[in-house]
Amino acid sequence: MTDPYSVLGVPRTASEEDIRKAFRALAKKHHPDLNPGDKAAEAKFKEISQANELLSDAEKRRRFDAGEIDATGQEVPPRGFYRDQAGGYGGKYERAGAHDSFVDMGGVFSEMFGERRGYGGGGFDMSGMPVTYSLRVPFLVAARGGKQRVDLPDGKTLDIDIPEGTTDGQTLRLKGQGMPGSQGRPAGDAYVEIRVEPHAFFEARDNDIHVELPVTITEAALGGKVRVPTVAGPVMLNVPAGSNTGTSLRLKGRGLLDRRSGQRGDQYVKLKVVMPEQPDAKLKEFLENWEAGKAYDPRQGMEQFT
Amino acid sequence: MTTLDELLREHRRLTAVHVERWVARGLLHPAGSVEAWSFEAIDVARARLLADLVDDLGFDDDSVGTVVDLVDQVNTLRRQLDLLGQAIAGQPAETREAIARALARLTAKG
Repeated sequence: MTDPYSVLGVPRTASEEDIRKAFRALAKKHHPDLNPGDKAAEAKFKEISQANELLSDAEKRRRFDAGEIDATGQEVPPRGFYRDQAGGYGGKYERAGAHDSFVDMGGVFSEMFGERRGYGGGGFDMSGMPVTYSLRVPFLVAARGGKQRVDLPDGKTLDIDIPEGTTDGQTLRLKGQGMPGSQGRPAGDAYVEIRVEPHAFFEARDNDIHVELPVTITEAALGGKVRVPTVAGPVMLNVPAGSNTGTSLRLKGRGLLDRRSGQRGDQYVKLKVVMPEQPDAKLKEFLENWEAGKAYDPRQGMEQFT
Repeated sequence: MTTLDELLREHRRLTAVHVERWVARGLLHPAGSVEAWSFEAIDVARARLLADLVDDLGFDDDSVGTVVDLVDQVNTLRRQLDLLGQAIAGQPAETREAIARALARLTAKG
């Protein structure tokens, strides 16, 4: 058995009061009747009870500290807990009204039971229960499709095939990766709820991709071909001469695959005119002498609202 | 069946005062009249739980009623859930799968 001081998490110099407090805190957490579904709670509670029994008795503690007795002391017989009684569910202490509470619970239980209460007794010969996981997938993996490795809570590692065009909130079914079945029945399925992580600049709305594309003044004013990233790789986009910040251009069929229709959405590119990072002497000189530049008022439209 | 005397002899931590108080407060339901209570196995186990809660875990008289009430609620819910599980287990595979899918959806939403 482990050292009773470390079981209770107290130093060897702990006072009686320290030990009592430590035991209470741990006992509240691990008492089997406060953890009815947890098999491990019983062993843990037994361990802390034994440690407490030894350390809360001044004479036993002295003899343990002096090395006269080991940590086991007397093995306590299995005592049984309240949860072990009446099928583990409290029997006659079941809450009042519990017998018609299938109706109380929003009609859900009563509906599920309905007339089928006597389902024929085959209940435990069942396939494994399904299991649900949540998986975060990078934006581009979901958009393009690909494999995503996951570590399952039971220690298994799975490579999950993420189909192209997987959307946020979609659930994938992994056959036979749930809980094992009983009596040789097949294992249950695992359901993986996909959470698509946001991308630095791609934004998906339905099957369309929206992206803001910085362009130079020259590209906006004179037009030309610019490189645009899409989920399937970069493509060239023709920027018309005289474009502006806010000009929206469409790349047809460059959006996400709609798994239902097999069609692809579009990519919408919104231009954003960006000045050069360093002020340019020639540009400055040009603007100073550019009469038309002083004549137009981009804020004119705001006047009527103020 | 266990009498009060046997109960107290078996579990030295319990006192008649404790047991009487718990019965009076409706936390323990032995069969029989006050003079001749008889405790079923479940009553004995429940008395030990109450003693644990008061002695080891340090709940006072008032809060112990709340704790036991919550324990009862958890046990009741677990029993209902177990029955529900058994009922679902008795369904055809398609029905169980449909329920599992619905659960997966609801779990994700929550």
